[in-house]
Amino acid sequence: MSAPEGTPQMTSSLRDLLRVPVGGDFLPLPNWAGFFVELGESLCARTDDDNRRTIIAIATPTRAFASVLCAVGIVGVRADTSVATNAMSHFEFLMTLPKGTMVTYQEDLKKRRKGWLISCVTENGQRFVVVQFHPQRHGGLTYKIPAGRSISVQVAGDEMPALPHDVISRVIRVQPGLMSGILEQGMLSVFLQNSRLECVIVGHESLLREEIQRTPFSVRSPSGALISGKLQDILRVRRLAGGSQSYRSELYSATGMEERSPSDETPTVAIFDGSVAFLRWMTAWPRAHCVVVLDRTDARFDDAAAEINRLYIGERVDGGVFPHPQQVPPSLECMAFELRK
Amino acid sequence: MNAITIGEADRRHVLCANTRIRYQPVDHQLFRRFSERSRRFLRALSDNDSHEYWQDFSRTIGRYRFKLTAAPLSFSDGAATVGMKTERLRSFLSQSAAIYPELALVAREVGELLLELAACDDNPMMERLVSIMDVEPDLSTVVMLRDSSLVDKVRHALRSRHMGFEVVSIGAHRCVHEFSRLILMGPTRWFPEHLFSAPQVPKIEVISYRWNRSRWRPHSTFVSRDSARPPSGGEDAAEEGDGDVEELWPEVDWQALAQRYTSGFDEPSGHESHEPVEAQLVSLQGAHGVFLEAHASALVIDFDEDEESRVKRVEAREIEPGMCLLLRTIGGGDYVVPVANRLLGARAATLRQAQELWKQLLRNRVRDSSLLQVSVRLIELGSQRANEGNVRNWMSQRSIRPQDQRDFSAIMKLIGREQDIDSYWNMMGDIQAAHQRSGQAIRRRLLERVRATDVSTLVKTGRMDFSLPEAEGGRLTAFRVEGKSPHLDLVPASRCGQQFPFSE
Repeated sequence: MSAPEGTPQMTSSLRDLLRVPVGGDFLPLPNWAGFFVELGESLCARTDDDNRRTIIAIATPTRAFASVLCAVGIVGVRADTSVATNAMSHFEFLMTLPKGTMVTYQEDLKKRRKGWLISCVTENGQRFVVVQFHPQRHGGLTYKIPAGRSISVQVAGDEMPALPHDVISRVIRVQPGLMSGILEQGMLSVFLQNSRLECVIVGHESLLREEIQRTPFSVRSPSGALISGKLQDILRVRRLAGGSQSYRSELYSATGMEERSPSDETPTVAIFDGSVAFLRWMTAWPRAHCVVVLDRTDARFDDAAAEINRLYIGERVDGGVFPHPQQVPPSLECMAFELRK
Repeated sequence: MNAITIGEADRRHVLCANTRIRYQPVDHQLFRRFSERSRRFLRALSDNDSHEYWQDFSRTIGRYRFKLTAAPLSFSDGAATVGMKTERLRSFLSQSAAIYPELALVAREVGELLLELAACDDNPMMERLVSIMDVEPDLSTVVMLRDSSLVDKVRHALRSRHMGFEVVSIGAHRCVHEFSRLILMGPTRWFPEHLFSAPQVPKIEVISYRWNRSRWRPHSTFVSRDSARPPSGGEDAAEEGDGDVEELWPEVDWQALAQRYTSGFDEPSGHESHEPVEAQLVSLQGAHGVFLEAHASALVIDFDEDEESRVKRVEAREIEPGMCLLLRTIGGGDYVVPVANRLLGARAATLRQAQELWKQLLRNRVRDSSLLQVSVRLIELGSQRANEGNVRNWMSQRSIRPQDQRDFSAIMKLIGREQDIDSYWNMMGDIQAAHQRSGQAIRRRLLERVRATDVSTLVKTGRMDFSLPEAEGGRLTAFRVEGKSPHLDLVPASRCGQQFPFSE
C-alpha cells in the first residue's frame, strides 16, 4: 500500500481516522484515497452560493473506491451539521408534496411508523407537519410534528395501497459501526435518527455495493480503539439500509435510473461514477454540486471528457481554482469550475 | 466488470507514477527503403485521379507494410504477402508503365523492393523480442499486437522458439494486469491511450521501427490551464530522437468492405431466402466478419456488466466493440429457431408453413409493385406503422409478426387472407412465445456455462466455444467484436448470422 504523503492534512479529517485492510492489518488511507475523502469534505465546506454550483472532474487510473470515498467525505463532514437548520428546508420540501404521500416517521431512536402526509400547517406562529397513521374508520390517529423535527418525516421508499388498520411500528437495531468512532454519543444519536440526502452516487451498482457493503474498513476512535465496519455505516445509503434506518445518501444504477422518484430531494452533491453515468444522467440534479469520476480505461472516457470540456468552455462562470492543482496526487488529473444553477 | 480490492486500486495508482516505458527501436535497411518508397508512392497517388486503377497494388503494399510493422513476422511470411501474386505484380507494373508512366516509375521501385523483401527471412522485431526476453526470462509477459488476425501466427512463432508468452490483441487489454511486463509491437499511437496513462504493469517495452514516431506523450484530458497535470509515467530518458514518420493505423473502409462481401451474396443457394434485410456488419476477433439483422437482437457477453447480467440480448445496432458476440458455429444459422421448433413440437411444421406463407405472399406483393406502394396500400388498409423499413422487417424470416394487430390485419387483407387474420395472428403468437422461451432457456444455460467456465481465456483470446445440449442450441462460439460499420447494408436474410473470413 502506498504511503500517504503530500496532501495537506485537515484537522479531524476522516482521512486521518479511516484505516484500510492490508494483509491482517489496518493501515492509513493511501494518498489518492485520502484525496477523495478530502475532496468531498472540502466541497461541502465551501460557502454555498444559491446561484452557482461546482463541477469537479477527475480522471483516474481506476474508478475503484473513488466515488465512495468522496461520498464518505461529504456525508462525514456534514454528520454533525445542525439538523434544525436543515429541518426548515426539509419542512419546505414536505410542503411541496401532495396530500396522501406515504411517509415514515422516526418517533425515537428505535421506533418508526408508517403513515400518510396530510398537510403542513401553521398554528399560533408555529409550523407543523401533520401525519395520519390510522384510517378515519379506525380512529384516524394523527400527529402534529413540529417543523424543527420534520427531518424525522421522510418519504416512504415503498408504497402502501391504503392506510394501515393498526399503527405499524417496529424496533430497529441501530448499528453505528464506524460512526461510533467518528461522532461522540450525543451527535451519534442525532445522526442515526435523522435522514438527509447529502449525496447521490450514480454508477455500476454491483461494484458500488461491493465497496460500500462488503469491503472492511476501520476507524481509530479517540480512545485509541480500532472499530471495524463498512462504509455503509457512514454513507447510510437509503436503498441499502432496507427502509428501516435513517439515510444520508442514495445509490442509483447508471443503466436503471428510471426508477428515481420525481419527488426525491435534491442532494448537496451528485457523484457520477464513470463515463456512462455522467453522459446519461448529468442533467438529473441541476442544482447539486457535481463530482465526475472518469476511469481512464472506460470505453467512453474520451466522450465524457469532451462533454466536461464543452461545459467548461461554454458554460462556466468565473470562480476560484478548486482544489489546488498541487494537492492532486500524481495518479490523478483534475479540473474544477462553476456553473450557474 | 469485476470489483477490485482497495489494494489492487492502490497498485494501479502507484503504477501511474512508476511504470517504466522502454523504447526498443529496430532497423532494417531494405524494409526502411520499402516503407519510405511506398509512402512516397501513396503521396503521389493522392494527387492523382487513378485510385481505382492502383487499388489492388496500393492495398497490397499497404497491408504488407502495416502487418510487418505491427508483428514480429519474417519478411517472407505468407500472412503479410497476401495480395497480388508475384507474376501478376510484375505484369501489372509493366502494363502500368504505358498508362501512368510517372506513377509507374515509383511503383516499380516499390514493387521490386517488395519482391526482394518477400524472399528475405529476416525478422528484426522477433530478434529484438528474443533479446528482451533473454534479460528477464522469468518475468510474466504479455505481447500485444494491433492486428488480431496475426495473434495465432505470432503465438505459434513464439512457441516454436520455446517462448511461451501470452500473445493478445488490443481487445484483450482487460487481462494486462495479470502480467508484470507488457510488450507492444509497433508505435504507441496504435494502442489504447490508457495502456500508458493508466498502466497496469510495472514494465512496458515498445518494439517499433526506428523511423516511426513511437514515443507516448502524455496530454491533458481537461482544457483548463488550472487543471492538475496528467500522469506522465516513468519514461526512459531518450538517448536518441524519436522517428519522424507518424502514421495512424489505417481506418476500416466499411463501405468498400460491405460492397465486397455483399457482392458475393448475389446467388442464394438451395431454398435460402434472397429477401434483402437491413444488416449491421461487424468485424470479429481473428479476421472474421458477420452481418447481423439490424432490427433483431443478438446474444452477447458484456464484461462491462455485472456477473448476473453479463449474458444479454441486445439489438444488433447496439453491439459495441469489446462485447463478445455469440454465434452458432455448429449447425449454422440462428440458434433460437431450432430450439423454438423443438418447444413447438409436432405443431412446428404447420406453424412455420403458415409463417412462411404470409411472408411469401407479402414479398410477392412487393416484388410486383414496390416497397413504397405496398406501404401506402397497407396504411390505406388500416396499418399504423407501414413504412418501408417496417415492411422490409415484416417480410424477413427473423421477424415473426408485427407488434400491432392492426398492421397484421392490413397485411392479411392485402394478401387476400382476410378470413385467416385471427387464426394466423394466434399461430404467430405461439411462435413468438416459443422464441421467447427458447431465448430465455439458451441465455440461462449459457449464463451457467459462463459462470462455470474460466472466461479469462475469452478475455485473452477473444474467442471461446460454449457447448450447450443440442436441444438448447448446440455449440455457440463467442467472438470479441472489434468494430462495426457506421451504416447498415442490405443483405439477403439467409446470410445474416453467418461468419465469413474478413480481411481489411
